[in-house]
Amino acid sequence: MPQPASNVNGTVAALNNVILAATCMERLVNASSHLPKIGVLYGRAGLGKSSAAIYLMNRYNAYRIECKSVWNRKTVLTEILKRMAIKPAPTMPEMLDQICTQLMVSGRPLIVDEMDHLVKKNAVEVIRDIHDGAGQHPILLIGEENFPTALNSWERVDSRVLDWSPVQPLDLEDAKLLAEFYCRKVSVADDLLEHIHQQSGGSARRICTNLELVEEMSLRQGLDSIDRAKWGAQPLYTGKAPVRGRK
Amino acid sequence: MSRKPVDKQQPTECRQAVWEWIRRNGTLPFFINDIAREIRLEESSIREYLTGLVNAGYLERSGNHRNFSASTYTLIKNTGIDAPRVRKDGTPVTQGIGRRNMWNAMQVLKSFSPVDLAFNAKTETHIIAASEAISYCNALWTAGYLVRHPDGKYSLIPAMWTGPHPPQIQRTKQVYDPNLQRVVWARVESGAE
Repeated sequence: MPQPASNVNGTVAALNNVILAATCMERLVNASSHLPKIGVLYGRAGLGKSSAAIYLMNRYNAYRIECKSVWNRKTVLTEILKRMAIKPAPTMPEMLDQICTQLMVSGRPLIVDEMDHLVKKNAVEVIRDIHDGAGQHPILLIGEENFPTALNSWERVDSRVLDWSPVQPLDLEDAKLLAEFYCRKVSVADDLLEHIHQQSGGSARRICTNLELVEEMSLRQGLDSIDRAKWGAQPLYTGKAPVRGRK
Repeated sequence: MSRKPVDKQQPTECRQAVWEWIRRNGTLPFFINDIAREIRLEESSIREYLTGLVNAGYLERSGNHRNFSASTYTLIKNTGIDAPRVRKDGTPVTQGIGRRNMWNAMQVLKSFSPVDLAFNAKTETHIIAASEAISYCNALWTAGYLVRHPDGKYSLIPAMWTGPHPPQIQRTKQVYDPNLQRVVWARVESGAE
């Protein structure tokens, strides 16, 4: 059972966006029974939405599907059933019943990642069917930054959203936390960390890549600590043109 | 009797089978013998599991408390198809949670180092050591679930996501996949079998 966060230091749970996602999930899970329980977590790529999704899966024992552009309504249902290890029934209405029953009796929340694809494929209503069919069951939708606008045109789903949570660029505290975990062999001075944070534009993915790069280069030079001056003008991944496409 | 290695069990002789029997039976009271007739599991093992389920509040037991076979059990908390993992005293089994967390994380992260995996799979209630992540990645790579990139990172092959249950590393260093219910990799040693 989820308990209040206590020993979060040094875990992914201390990242601001993970706290945001967990708060959103807490609201859904604890909302009174007559309220709709759809939550939306949205923001641009690389800010740690995936890390948040992993955390929620593990912490709340949530089911999670990751939508693909080729999916239709039937795929959504079969994929959820696969996650539940239930053999899909032959027709879609029966599959929907199977899903709703399992969600209701297990009480496990559902996470729908990359929800943008379903909006484009007009498969949004199936999420509403699951939410209503399972008795206003907690469902967290994860999408890109313009996802809320896209969802607006689906009035019947939009009106069931209890919580909108925009993920934020990582702050320096987050970067420090990542450095503690990713740079175990080399100590990175605060001024270099600030530089990395600034160059990475708040992206979790790039901060991690840069931290790994800094550690590797320092070890190669036989250093066990590094600061801004020692690092000098060596390049970092910024996600801008020449290095675009590299993660 | 001690538990058989998981790959030596039949699908009809595990706790999952007991739980499925109980769910099929619905809310009618039943005796331990009703299960023992159909499930090929030692009666002592069934009794231990039922006791755990009673202590965890899934079942209610009534009748003679001295005599197990004379008391009836009723399902009072049905939590769906997954058999609750409980110890005899009703507390949840924590063994395997780290592996489940890593298995979950692998599907989400497109490419990951063991460090990424340990960081992302950690929760405040369950810490994962880097060594644990390294050995799990290595075992799943050997068994063909993961590909290893030149930079030392791994990716889960999408078709190798066999189901929600994490593949297990058995003491004999075999890899057993509970989703497929079979051993997917075993070290070949001369003279064995």
